[in-house]
Amino acid sequence: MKTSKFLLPVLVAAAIVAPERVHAQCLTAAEAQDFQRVLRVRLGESELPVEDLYRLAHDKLGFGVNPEGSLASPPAGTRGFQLDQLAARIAESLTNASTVRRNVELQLGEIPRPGSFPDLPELPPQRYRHAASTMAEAYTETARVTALLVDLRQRLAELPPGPERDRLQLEYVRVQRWRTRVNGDLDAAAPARLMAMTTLGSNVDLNGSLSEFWANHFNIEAKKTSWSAVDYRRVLQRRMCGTFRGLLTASAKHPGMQIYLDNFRSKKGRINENYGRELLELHTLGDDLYRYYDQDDVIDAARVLTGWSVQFTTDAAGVTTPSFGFYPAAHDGAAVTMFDRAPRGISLQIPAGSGESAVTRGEQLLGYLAAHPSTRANVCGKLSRWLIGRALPETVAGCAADAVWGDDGDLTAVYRFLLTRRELWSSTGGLSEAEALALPRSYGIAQKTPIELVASSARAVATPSATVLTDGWLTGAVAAATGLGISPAKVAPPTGYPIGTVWLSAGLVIRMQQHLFSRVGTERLGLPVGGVVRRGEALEAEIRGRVVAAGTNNTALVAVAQDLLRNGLKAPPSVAIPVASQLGALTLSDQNKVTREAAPARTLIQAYLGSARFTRK
Amino acid sequence: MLIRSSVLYAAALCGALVITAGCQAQPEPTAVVEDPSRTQPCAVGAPASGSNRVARTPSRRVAATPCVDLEDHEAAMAHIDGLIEEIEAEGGE
Repeated sequence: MKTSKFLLPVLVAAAIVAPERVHAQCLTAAEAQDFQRVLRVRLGESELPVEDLYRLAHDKLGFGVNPEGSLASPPAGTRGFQLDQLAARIAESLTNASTVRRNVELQLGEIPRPGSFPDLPELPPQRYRHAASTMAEAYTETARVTALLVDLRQRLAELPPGPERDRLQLEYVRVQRWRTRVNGDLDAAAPARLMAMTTLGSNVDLNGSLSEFWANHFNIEAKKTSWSAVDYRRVLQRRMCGTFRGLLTASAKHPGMQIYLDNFRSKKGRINENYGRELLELHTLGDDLYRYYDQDDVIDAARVLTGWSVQFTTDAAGVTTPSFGFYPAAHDGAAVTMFDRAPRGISLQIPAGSGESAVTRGEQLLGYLAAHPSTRANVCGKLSRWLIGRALPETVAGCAADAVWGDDGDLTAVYRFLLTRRELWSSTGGLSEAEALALPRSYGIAQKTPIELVASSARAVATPSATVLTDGWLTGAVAAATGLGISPAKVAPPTGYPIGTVWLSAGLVIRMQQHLFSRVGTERLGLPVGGVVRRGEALEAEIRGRVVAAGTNNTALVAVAQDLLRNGLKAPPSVAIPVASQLGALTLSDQNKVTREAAPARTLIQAYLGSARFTRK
Repeated sequence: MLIRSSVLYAAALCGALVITAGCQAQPEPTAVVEDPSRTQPCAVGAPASGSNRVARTPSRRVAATPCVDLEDHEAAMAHIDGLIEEIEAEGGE
């Protein structure tokens, strides 16, 4: 790309900002129709059986198949009709949020207003009371209880021993317990919401998948600001169908990000470079330091963003809203020339500025970064790994081209481009199924992350519905993913969690096996799902009946496994190979936990969930 | 006499009603004071009226008063630091 073409929009960016699309749907009806047509052509070119194309759509564009959900398998009809249906469903998933998702929002959103201060024994048992409220309400409650504690502590320090001090001491303990409750609710909300959405979404759930991608890309660890976590995800979700520049700006200005990476305290003469560094290194240009930028650019970025912080305004009802605030007095408004020292740096000049309007200097920097070729490659590569499972150079180049990315990063165009790549609809990218399973073990192909693994195993065997979503189920799902290596919505490093083959490490495979084989086996399909194991139990009963009928004949058992996995569990025949190899060993190793009668049936399910076919994204 | 008494009675009744109404116009005390911050909204380490600075306590903890507009950078920073400090301290309590 020519530099002049790249710089032109940057220089005028601060003055002319295209209206940002902010909505829950990515495509208009006309766009969806066009996308569906192109996608249908691509699906028609695939050499894969139609069942495999459906499975790819469920695994890569959603969180695994729910056998009871819509389009779990191809409808009856010709291949052409079946592909029509799939293309329509994928296009629809970029157009409408699912009904189930709205139900989850309603359920988690139904909480009492803050302000009441009931005695703890009278509290209802459900959690997420505070967290599902607006960020302003959640923040106000946190700050209010914190202020009470500070005041009580101060008064206690000044009081001599006596009845009044004893009374205050009791009050202090009561408020302290209330604060723990508030913080616990807020702290648990984002992980619970994530697990609910990943497990309850529709079979092709691009809305959920993409929002998880962006939350991970612009990761915040909301321990310091748990009141902001749910709102932060919501803001990203609303912006993820606009431009990358708009999304980047929304992230940069959110109180959650401002506080997480300490930019709120960065001021002229006292720079905090945490956010400036991650902005360049993670959110935009990538970690190729000294190629497009250097350490001085990190400091200059932080200087340009000084004064970007959080402000708090309180309304008449006493509700305080945290929001982005620009403090001109804290801003370092000196003119800077950036990115002209690194070998491949593309120079950016930001003129001096002061007063309220100096906030545009930071916005100019974000605009520059959103249009930068290295940002395009970085984001396109990550998105490609997320949606396709790999990042072929030609795909990244095509995504980053002006025709797709545009100046500010047209994310809808990017999604459409990636979703119509040939390699997405060719499960192994040229390898035969046997080669992919046997030799390089899915070399270059992403594995499911722990969140996806837990969600998809729940969806496969014990899909809960919104009406039976319980605190216990959510807690269990969060704990399971945490045990496998990702604490949902609470990943501490600014990098977020990795995507791709990293989840194939030996240690993790062992932990996954432990999760899927012991926890799943001993706790009725693993996830403490309360009343939502009916499907799992029905499957188990069916399998047990057939296994018992087969007796102890190993050949007959394997035949049953093949049949069940092919027809009952919607799994491809190739899964029968790991099933056959794992049947005996698992039955022995789990015999102290699982009754002999149930073991073969459970083992079949476990083997299905633990197979390479299932754990591969 | 009867009329005068009635007038006096009516006047007294009216006066009583006025007084009662006046009393009722005052905020009714709640049976249970659940939330001290509601009755003393800006008492917790709050700045004097007109100031948007948050006072520091002797322990250097910053009172987190949601009742003030924290439009000054220093005040906002101190407020956020105070909140973070409290949340981090909770782990050790």
